[in-house]
Amino acid sequence: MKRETVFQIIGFGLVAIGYLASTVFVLQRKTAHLEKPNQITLRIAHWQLEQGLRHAFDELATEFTRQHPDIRVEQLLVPERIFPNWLVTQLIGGTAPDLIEVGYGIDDERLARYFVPLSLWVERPNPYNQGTALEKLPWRDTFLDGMYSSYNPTLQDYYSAGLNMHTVRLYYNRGLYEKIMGVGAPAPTNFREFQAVFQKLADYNGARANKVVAIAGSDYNGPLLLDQFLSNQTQKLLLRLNDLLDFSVSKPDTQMAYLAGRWNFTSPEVQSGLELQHEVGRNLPSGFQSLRREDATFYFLQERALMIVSGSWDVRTLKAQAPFPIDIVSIPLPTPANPEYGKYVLGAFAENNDVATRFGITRLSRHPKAALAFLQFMTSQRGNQRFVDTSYWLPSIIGVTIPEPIRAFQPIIEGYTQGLAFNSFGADGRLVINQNLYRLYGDRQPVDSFTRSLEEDLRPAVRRDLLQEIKTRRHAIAHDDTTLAALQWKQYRGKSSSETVRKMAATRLNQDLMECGAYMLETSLDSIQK
Amino acid sequence: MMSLPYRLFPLLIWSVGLAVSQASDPKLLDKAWDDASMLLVQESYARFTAAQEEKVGDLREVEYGLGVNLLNLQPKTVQNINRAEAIFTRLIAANPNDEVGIASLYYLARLEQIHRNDPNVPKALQLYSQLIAEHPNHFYAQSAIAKVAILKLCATPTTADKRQALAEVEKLAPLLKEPAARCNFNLVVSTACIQYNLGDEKALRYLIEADTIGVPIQFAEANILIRIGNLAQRLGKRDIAITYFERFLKEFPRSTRTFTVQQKVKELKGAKS
Repeated sequence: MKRETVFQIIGFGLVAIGYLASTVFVLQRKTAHLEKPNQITLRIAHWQLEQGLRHAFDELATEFTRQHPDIRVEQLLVPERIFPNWLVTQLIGGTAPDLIEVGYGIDDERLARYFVPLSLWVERPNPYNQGTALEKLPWRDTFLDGMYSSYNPTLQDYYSAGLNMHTVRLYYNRGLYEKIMGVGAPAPTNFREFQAVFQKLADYNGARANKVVAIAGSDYNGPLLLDQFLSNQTQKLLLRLNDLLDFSVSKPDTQMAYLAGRWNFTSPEVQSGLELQHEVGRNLPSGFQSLRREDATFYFLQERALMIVSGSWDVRTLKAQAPFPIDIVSIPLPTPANPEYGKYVLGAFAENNDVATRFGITRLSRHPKAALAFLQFMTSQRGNQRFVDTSYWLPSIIGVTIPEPIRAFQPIIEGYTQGLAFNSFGADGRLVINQNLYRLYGDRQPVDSFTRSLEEDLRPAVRRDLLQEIKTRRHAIAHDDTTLAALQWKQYRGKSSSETVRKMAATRLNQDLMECGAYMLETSLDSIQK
Repeated sequence: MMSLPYRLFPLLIWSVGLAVSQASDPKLLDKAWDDASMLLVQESYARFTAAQEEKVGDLREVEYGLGVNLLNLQPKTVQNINRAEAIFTRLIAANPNDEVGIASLYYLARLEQIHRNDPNVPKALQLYSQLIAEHPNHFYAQSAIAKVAILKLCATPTTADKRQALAEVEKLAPLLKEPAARCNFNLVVSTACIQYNLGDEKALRYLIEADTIGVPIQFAEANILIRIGNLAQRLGKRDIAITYFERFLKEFPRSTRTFTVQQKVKELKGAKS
């Protein structure tokens, strides 16, 4: 027999074995399912692979099945990177699970086409809140953000309900910290104490061969920390840009003000913020912008870094993997009392209470009622408490107790709005900034060098971002025309519900306000170009 | 790479399939409008096409449905927009005074303002004005008043005479009969007044009136309450400022702006005593 033929036989043989194995596997799954003929299976997909999350969902699923023996819940974990592609395949192929985490890969059109609007239910109490203080409240009002994060302004409807919130804090290695700062030394609570830690660490490192870095950094963790210092110094500046007098300046308006010359990187507040970023940024590993999130985590876990900045989503992973005790504190930003950096500061930031890990019900769901029930169960006070107790993530529901290990993450409510930062820019603007950021952490006139490096390229980039923003808004405005025509026709024919009337009023106002804003942006941009 | 027509082939097959399967459905038009109200333009368009082919329902309604869907049918092409224009023009010519004729005039104006690659704002303004003059109390004429305000106040160059534009726009205010249209108009005018320094008193008056009518979006309502508070404070009307800031605190206790507003109230109450 020829060698080629042998290889072909082996090849076909392997394919046949693979096919057989897959068939057996699929049949076994089917059989396992058929063993409980009166039970339906709900499938829920998400990308939260953080430690504890799978377990938390499993706990919710088990308790839900205990209450509803005819329903079992199956979790599908899909890595973040492939989630958008996976999702599109599932939706178009008609094989999507019943509940899907909303975010990656879902735009307005996909949301409208493949997900169930929830407005009918958000106005009614969540039945799983019976016997709690929330039992009479509409489902919407039981969320800490009033379901603001679940509301889609283009579609004027709620398409998801979320499980948690997140805040960002400074994690530090308690054992190492005491070695450096002294036994029982308190954590830094203000910027001066933070500076003192850097100084003491420099002394500790001295002539040691294996030097300890103050803060583990990466392209992911670095901005989480350093952007806050720029925001801290620009709080008063941003309020001065608030032309519409509502204590809120949108990112496009901030960019427009930049192009109009109302602020730039030489503004004293921004220079002060950059100085501060340089001072703190020097305590991250050199070239941290090119390191990945995993690198920073290893640095910290291997005790090569004293501290790391991350969100509440990492608390379980870090505490489980670290061979040392970890303490957590707020990032010690300068206060108005700071003699060097206090004059541009209003005070602590009020932390955003946007709800995350939001799930929507797909129109393809074969069990939409059961899917809604599980969603309501997960976001009931008791369900959310169970989720929070297991995952160590912050709750999304009013009245849920924050477990002791994550108390430090409790959102700060008594605070002012943040100032502007690098993330106030659009994609092109941020790209220019990121390409030059290494200068800010260099040794030779870093702030000056960084500021000058932006002069040429940032303005055209910001202009491109604003043109893109106008295009996006125009697209949404155009979409509203068809929606409004249909809603008005239903009303004209007497086929509208109170929900249609509400939706029409909201869509109409949203369109007018968006149109007004888009034209203002466009004419301002024109005036600057001229 | 596959060319666009080939890539659209499955969609075409699907649309034809849907059209054939839906043709005999008596609720076809209701479903078509339901789809359109949820941004499902492809589906809605396929149903209206089926209705047209099978002569289901009122022909004018079906044609109008096709027109408003063509405005957003993907991919958005010049041909589709021109087809929508031809449909609206034909519907107006046949009967300019029924619901379809009036709505078509409004969407013809929208087409000129928003949907063309090169918007024709003067033409849109002319069509809006015609609509307002011929059917002043109709829903679409009431909507058109805010659109005229937007075009005259916000879409003109920043160097244009905004005071003159405001005077022209304000002449339309007495025509506003529908509360929601009046609310939207007031919010547009007040935004322009603040942005272009056309008078804090005027801006405050428009905002308070809009708030009295009722703002249907929570986030917009939050902004408006703070704006009223700040404007009133700027004008020395401390009682009004306190009232509206306190309403914000009551209605939006978990906002990231709550603490800032609390400080404002403290400041105002301190100044009062």
